[in-house]
Formats: sequence, C-alpha cells, structure tokens
Amino acid sequence: MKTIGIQIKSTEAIMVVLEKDDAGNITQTNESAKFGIDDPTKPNQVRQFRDQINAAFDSIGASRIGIVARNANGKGDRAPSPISFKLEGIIQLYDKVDVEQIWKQTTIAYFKKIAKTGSAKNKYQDDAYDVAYFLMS
Amino acid sequence: MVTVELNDEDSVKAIQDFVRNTPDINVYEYIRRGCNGDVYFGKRIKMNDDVVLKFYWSHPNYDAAEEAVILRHIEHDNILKIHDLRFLPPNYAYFLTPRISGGDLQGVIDDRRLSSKEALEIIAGVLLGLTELHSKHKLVHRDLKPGNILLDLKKNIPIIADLGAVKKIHKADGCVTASKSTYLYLPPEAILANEYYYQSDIYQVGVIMFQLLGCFFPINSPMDWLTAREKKQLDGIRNTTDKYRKFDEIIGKKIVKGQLVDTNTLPFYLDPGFKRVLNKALNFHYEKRYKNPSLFLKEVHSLLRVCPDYVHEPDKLIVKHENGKEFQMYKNKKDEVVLEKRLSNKDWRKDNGHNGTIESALKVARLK
Repeated sequence: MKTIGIQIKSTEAIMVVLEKDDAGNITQTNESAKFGIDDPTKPNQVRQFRDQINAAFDSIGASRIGIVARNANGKGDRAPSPISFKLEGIIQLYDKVDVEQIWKQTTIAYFKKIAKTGSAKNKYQDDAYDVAYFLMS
Repeated sequence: MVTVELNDEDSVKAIQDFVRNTPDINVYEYIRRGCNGDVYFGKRIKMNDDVVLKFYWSHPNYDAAEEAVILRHIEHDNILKIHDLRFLPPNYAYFLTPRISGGDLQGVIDDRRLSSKEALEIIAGVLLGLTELHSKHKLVHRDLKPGNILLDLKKNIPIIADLGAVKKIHKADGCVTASKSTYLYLPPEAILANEYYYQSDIYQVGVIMFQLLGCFFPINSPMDWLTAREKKQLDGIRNTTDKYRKFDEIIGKKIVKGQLVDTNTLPFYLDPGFKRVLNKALNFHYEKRYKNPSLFLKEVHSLLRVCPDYVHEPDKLIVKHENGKEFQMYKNKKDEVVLEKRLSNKDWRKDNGHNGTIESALKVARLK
C-alpha cells in the first residue's frame, strides 16, 4: 500500500511517498519529489505543473493522497501565499483518487497516540511525511 | 474494398484477401515496411476518415491475448487509438488505427533539425503517453523509436504508435523478454540478459531525446558507427545474413559499453542540464534510471523552464528566450565570432559583451 503526503510551501509542492510492506514496515520511497512553478502567470508552466502532478500520481498509484491544510484566512506572517492556492487547486483536480485536506493539528494529535516509526529523509519533507504516515492508518 | 491498383504483391495472400474483402474501408495505398509488417491506408466509408491497416506477424489467437484486450480500451491523447484489433489466420495480428496528419518523427528529423524546445516538448508528450501505458495498464512498449512516434499537427502533440510489441509486466519490479525488432534502441539489459523492464522504455525515450537533440546517431548511415577495423571485419563476410548478424553483434557491444549513445556528442551549445538528464535516462543500470516516466517528465519540464530555445541553423545558432529576447551567433568571413541580439522581432544589433570566443558569446546569449 502506498500513500502520498503533500505540503505546499511558497511556489513548491513537496511530495512524500510512503509504502507499507506485508510485514507492516513503512518506508519512504525514492518517488518522493518537489514540484514547482517559476512563474504562475505563464499558462504553459501551469499546464506543465498539472501534467507533472497527474503523471506522478498515476505512476505511484497511491491509495490515499493528502495535503497539509492551510488557513486561507491567515493574516500577516501567517497568510498563505496566493500562488499556493493555485497549486492546491491543480492538485485537487486529480480525479482518480480524492485529495484529502489534513490539518496539522490532526497529525499532531494522531502522533500523540501512535508512535511514529522512522522519519522523513530530509527535514523539509517532515510535514508531508506526517500526512502520508497519517493516511497509512 | 479496393478501387485502385495497390501493387501489394509483396504482401501475403491472407492479407491481400482480407484488405479486398473489408466492405466498410476503401483501401487506396500499400506500403511494405520490411520487418515491421505490411501497412495499408484507407478511408472508412461511413465515418469518412482516413485510417491505417497494419499487419504484424503474431502467434495464434492474438486478439484473445491479455495485451490485445487492454489495447482496445486505451484512450489517451498521446497513444494511438485502436479502432479494431483482431487475429487474422494463419499468423497475423491486424490493427486498425487513425491516420495521423504529421507522419512519424523519424521523417521529421530526416527533413530538418528540431529546436531544443521542440525536442523537449515532444519528449514530454511521449512521457505522458508512457505514464498511461506503464501505470494504468502495466504495459511496456518495447519498441520506442522516432519511427514509432507520430505527430498530430492539428493538436501539435506526439502520439505513441506501433503497439504490436507491447507486453504486460505482472509484478511491480518484474520484467519481460525484450523485443528484438529494432536493435539500435535496445537497452543494455536486453542485450545482456534478454530482460526488459519499465525502465527499459525510459532508456528508449532517452535515445529518442538524444537523437532529437542532434547528438551523434547516424540511423540512416549506420556504418558510421563502426571503426575502420570493424568495417573491415564486416567487409570480409560474404553471406548477407552473417553480415547482419555480425553488425548487430558489433552494435550490441557498443550498446553495452555505452558507446552507441555517447552524451559527449551533445551539441556544444546545450546547457549542462541536458547531459545530466540524458545520462540518468540512459544509465547502464536500469535501476539507476528514472524510476518512472513522471520523474523524467519533471526534469524535461525543468529544462523547458530554465533553458532558452536553441535553434541550430546551417550557418548560425539562434538562442530564443521566453521574454522575446533573441541572440544569433555566427562566424564572419574573417572567422570571428559575431553575436547579435534583438528584442521581439526588431532589427538585429551587435552585442560586443563577449571576448570573441564561442563560449563567451554563448554565455551572454544564455542570459535572459
């Protein structure tokens, strides 16, 4: 079984792919990647982002896909970048598996009850890792 | 039905009869494609569209094979639609597909050199089609080459065609036997162990990209690959079959040594990223190549975003940026490097911001 966790930071989508084997061991696969847009006003770059995301999801064949939810009403320093919502919208258009929104508080509460085995290969993947791990449950 | 003289005497009787007795297609042209089977062009009378009838050698009951059942249901912009597929006794598989406007990619690159952007966009389209084959249908194509990629001029997209060699891989990291139909595009594992993986298709797309970018791949004069010694060896063989076998053996050795697709032959003007991407796609070890087409696609898109478009013309190189800025480099009569720039189709103006070397002029031209 495979799950995908995504965190959108600025103009990048950080994707972590986890796989659970028959013995119940959860590992991060080397399909994990970052996708981004340099200029969100250029239609060809938006289309490329869509194609990359759809192709990646198709190739991985995950049973669940989740994205770290962000507060659209956040103000000041906490205000999410408007471009990130554009990326989120494109990701949510994937129609073979529903893309779930997972709040950070949900994963924090989950890991208080369940001990996480392993961690993300890179520090910047931590939040996406947690979402993918949560979806494995 | 047939209303014109087809001159298809080279075709076998079973195929000739089939073509003449198909009532709803008016067949008007025949092409012999050597080992790749027989091809006829026709028009579907009721639908009023041009179609291709292709016949491959096949094992009996091909139309009941798992691959054939899957192929009938594939619907993707970058994969050739199959209208009909069936077994034709005694041992042929019949494919009915649409006729695509732009012909095949080999014909295009024989005619002109593609710009780097055109090449990358074609590769991106091929990788989208390959994602569909690999992920949704668990199929490997096994015969990817420019001759099997069609260009739809209306939609401006490449289409993966010639699905006669596709094979289903049943386990995620499993493999099937290689198809030996086009030796030059075989990956090393196919030569060494007759094994073909998902990543073997990635290798073949890598070879296509290598070819489209203008690297050394003399498919129309394959003897150019051989050294003088190898040519002499070949000349010493009289029997044609033995000669072909020896040629394949020499090419096979070159594939295994990584000499057939040598990324050092990349055009000098391409950014280092092109070599990095090709080296990964063409890696000797299949496990070290891109794990799936989507990771390859991501890198191709990254090249499209980061690098300018390089248009190689016989006497000059044009470097085009997305913002409309263009540079052209050429050598004048005194053999000096000349760099000119212009903005959005205005007049060319000399740019003297380089030190007279090609490298320096290229560095200036690459700046947005």
